[in-house]
Amino acid sequence: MSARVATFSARRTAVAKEKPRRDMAVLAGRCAVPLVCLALWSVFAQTSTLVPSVPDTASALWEAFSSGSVFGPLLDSLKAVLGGFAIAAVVGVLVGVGLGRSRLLGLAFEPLVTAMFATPRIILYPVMLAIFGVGLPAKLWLAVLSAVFPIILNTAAGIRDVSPTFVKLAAATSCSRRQTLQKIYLPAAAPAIMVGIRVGFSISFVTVTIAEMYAAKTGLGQLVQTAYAFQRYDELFAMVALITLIALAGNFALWAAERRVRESMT
Amino acid sequence: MTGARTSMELHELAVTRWGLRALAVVALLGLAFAVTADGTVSPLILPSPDVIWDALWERIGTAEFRADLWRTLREIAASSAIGVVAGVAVGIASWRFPRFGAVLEPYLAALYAMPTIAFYPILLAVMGLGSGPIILIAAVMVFVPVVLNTVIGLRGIRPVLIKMGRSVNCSSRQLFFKVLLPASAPLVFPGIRLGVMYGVTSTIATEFILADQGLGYRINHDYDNFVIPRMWAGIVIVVLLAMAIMSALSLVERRIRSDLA
Repeated sequence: MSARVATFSARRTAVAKEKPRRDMAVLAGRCAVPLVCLALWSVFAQTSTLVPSVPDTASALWEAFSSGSVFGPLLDSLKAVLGGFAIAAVVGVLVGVGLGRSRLLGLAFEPLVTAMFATPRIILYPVMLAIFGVGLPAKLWLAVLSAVFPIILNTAAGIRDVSPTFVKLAAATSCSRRQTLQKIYLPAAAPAIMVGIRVGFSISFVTVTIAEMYAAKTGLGQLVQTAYAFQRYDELFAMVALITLIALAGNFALWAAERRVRESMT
Repeated sequence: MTGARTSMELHELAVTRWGLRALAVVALLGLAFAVTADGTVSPLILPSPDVIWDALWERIGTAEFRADLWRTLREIAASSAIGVVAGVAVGIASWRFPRFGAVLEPYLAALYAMPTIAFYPILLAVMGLGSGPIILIAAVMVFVPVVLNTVIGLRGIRPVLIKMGRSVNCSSRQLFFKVLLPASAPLVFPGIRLGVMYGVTSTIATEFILADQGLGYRINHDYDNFVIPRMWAGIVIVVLLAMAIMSALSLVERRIRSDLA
């Protein structure tokens, strides 16, 4: 059972080749979607005192940056996510290769890994707090736990999908075990590994943010939590918008990397 | 799996598989016993498995547990139903009307990358504490993989199959149930499975952040009261629930999808 899900990207390039000419109606429609969203937001802001207006939210976001108050928490969140994510990428690929190469290990442990992937890792945050106390290490290790399972599953699936012909080729040219791994398995499984890495990043970022809402000294989630608790809704919306923008930016960067890896394969 | 296997071989394979799984669980349990028995790991972090086992039994008997379970299951069921129905409907619409699909395409991809749970505090502020915001967020999480996989599944159907259906005078209803649904199932079902899995995760996670009831909330609550064995019992319950839901979905998938038989 793999956690991969197909995306539009492959299909999109195919469609683009069929119809090089731009469809104006589609373009207009695409531009209209964000406008409709903003209009809906404004209507909600008009009718409810709980929803701040778009300019209020923008100015709260601007205020957070111009006063510099957001930088400390932002850095702390990013440290936890990037540090944890880096550890998870190394561990996840290594364990994934192990589970993918060995039938025995795969059969024994993959259901457990899948079960962990289906479990929200945030419920392990209290355990991290008990081990490390409130602070950066607890968040960082929670990020590791969040990112590692999708990376393991996708790597294992990618390794298993490697064509036996390649493996035979390696054996025929008397590659060493290490060479076979470096020159055959890892490059051939790279697209699948990249999917795991992207999903792992998304999940670790979200999990760290909600962990900070639960208990943290600092961090973006903690800013959301205080804004909610003190009913400063313009700040609340601004911070959620910031979190969304960071998640989208990280995802699109990894998406681009994923596409490059896939294209370099063909 | 390639080639034909005799039922005897398949049976042996299943036995080894379950044997290995059991062995892995036993090994992990043994490790947990070992590190807790000699005090390497403090009972404040991980209590001995038999203490967790007792807490688990005690917990399951309570009315509180039944209320939590019922609440969580209701939220999972509601969000899955909304997410799957909306996802398949929007997926079919995007396939049937390619321009509509083309407009939606980049936004669906972006929605996939969205930290949807981060919107929970906003919904709490606007909708108040209760099942509403939890179901709404989980439904969005279910919706995204379902709609993406439905569109890709439908677009991947070979046109000759649809022409074939038309040439034997299928009604549009027959075309849907006899051709489109079975032909796109290999992608639609994994989308549903992944979507429901995300829905389960986000339901428990939002309950954990802030709720008044539910399995996720109970873990948070037990941790706040420093009842560590009961907190671990809660974690075990959530892992078992996630596994049960995933297995049930795989079972349904195998029953419905003819290409797996």
